[in-house]
Amino acid sequence: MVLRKGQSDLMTAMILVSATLTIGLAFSALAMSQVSNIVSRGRMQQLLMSEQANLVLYREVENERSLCVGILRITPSVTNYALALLLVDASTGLVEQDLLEQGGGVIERLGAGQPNIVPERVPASSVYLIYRGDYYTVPMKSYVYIVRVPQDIIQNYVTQQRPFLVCISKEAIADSIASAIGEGGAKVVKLIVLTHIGSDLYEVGEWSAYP
Amino acid sequence: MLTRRVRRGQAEVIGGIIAISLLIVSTATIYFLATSTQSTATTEFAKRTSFEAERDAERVAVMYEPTSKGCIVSNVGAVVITIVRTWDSAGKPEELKISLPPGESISSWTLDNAPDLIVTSRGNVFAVKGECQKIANMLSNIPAPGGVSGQPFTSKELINPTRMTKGMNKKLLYAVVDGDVKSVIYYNGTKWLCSDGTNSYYYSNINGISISGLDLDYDSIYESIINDSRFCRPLSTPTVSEYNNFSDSTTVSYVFINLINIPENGVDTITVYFKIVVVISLPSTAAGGGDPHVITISPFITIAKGSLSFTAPATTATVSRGLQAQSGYTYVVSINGYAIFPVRGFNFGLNPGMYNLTLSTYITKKKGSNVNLNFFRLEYIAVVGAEIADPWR
Repeated sequence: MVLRKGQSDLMTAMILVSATLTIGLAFSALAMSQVSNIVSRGRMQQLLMSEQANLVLYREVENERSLCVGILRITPSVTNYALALLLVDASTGLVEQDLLEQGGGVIERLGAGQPNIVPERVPASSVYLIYRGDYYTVPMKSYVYIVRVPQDIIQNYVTQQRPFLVCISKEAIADSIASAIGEGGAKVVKLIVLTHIGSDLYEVGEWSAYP
Repeated sequence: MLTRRVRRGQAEVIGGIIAISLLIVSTATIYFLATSTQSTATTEFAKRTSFEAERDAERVAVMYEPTSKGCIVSNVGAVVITIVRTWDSAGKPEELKISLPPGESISSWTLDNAPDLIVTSRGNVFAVKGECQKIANMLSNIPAPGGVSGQPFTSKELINPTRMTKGMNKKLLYAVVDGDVKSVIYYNGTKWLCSDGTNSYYYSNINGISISGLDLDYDSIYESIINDSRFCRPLSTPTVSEYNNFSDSTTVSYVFINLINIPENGVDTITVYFKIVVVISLPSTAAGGGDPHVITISPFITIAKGSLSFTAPATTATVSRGLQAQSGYTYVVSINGYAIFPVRGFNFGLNPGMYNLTLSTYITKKKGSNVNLNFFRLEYIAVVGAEIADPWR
């Protein structure tokens, strides 16, 4: 079968139009996807920036037995928080020990009461910590233990612009710190306040104490 | 010909419009996001800056009212303070909500029931009981004509027996009586502490001295006592006795190692305040019986670093009165005093750095008098014009 000249031109035109449309749509989709990605990350950065600016941590009481840190959100809002307690190498920023791994006794007070706290294990890939201004997942760990701040504390403190207490038992972590210090290098205990974004947890504040 | 050229142009224009629209939408989205981020950053950080300014503006003054033994907490700042939590002396927090507008006061607390700390809704922590008690110490022997008195010193400049036991290196204190080194014991309301300049030990209890006997002048502050032993003993409940074998002419010193830190560009004078409490007894038949002034007590302060030593005599005001619950001629004598050191007044100069501080007291009896010096105690020492060095804080 021999195509006539008009038919051949038509087919060429159709192929060219299809190719142009496909490339155009693909480029548009790619561009929109990139823009959407940038926007999504930008929105998240805004949210984290806002949360960081809103959170105040201060030392309320410290004695031989415990350290109590006050946590305050300066703008009242329903925000869910979780806490992590890590022993970090001061020079490298690497996490050496997860102090909540020992159990809830490490946190001897949360809010007004002294609840029986059971830390929860979450994948380290879902916990983002700040190191020199940028977010990174917890290095060299599979899991991180966290304590979720209960809803009654959110209702009675965070939404009412009142600082809530987190008391860390120095006695409970003394052995861990002593063994870590024995390995050399300066260590720092970090109480990290995390907030939920999607299914991940992002650091929005921390209190550092040198053992 | 013309129609075909127009159609080809149309396709290019439509394609161009789509591409440009895409570019504009993308650019606009990113631009608005950047603007919004900047706006969020500006708003949030302005909010935080404003909060920090308000937080910094929170000011509280603690005063002591001697008549009712009240601890008055006043808002002397420019913003309304909301007290959201208090801490008692047992280290227990209590949640509450008290609003304190500028210029107003809380006067319902006394020295007994005042909280150790108050916490505000902006996250400031203020000491109440300790401040109140320190002012009470200062005013204990001073008549209070007008009721409420001002605060003579800031808390960081004052060391009293309660403070001595908190957060300091307890090995840094000892006493010297006529050249013999003695250990010092004090009680902080919870436990006893013994320090001999080499070691220090906590005791939950001791034999030989009662807690109630530690407040000779009844001002609710325990005095530190000189232990009749060179060293503190590492026992759970040691038996101790207060040194009382003073000679007719004796010199008693309390030595604080590395107590003072003179800062760079400090003030021109350093003033050291102190309060000594002594007990003397006079046999009723002895010459001068009934007159406590037959004994001379002359305190002086030495600040020393290495081979440099600076000494100044103290100006004192003394109050003596018959010791309560004791018959005969037993007197408790409170000596409030101060010594001034001109920082730039010495040839060598009191240069910046850490200095030891020694409070020495020369005590001598009138000739022929049978007066006895029974006890010598230190109630507090305070430094104004220099910092209390870190080991003592």
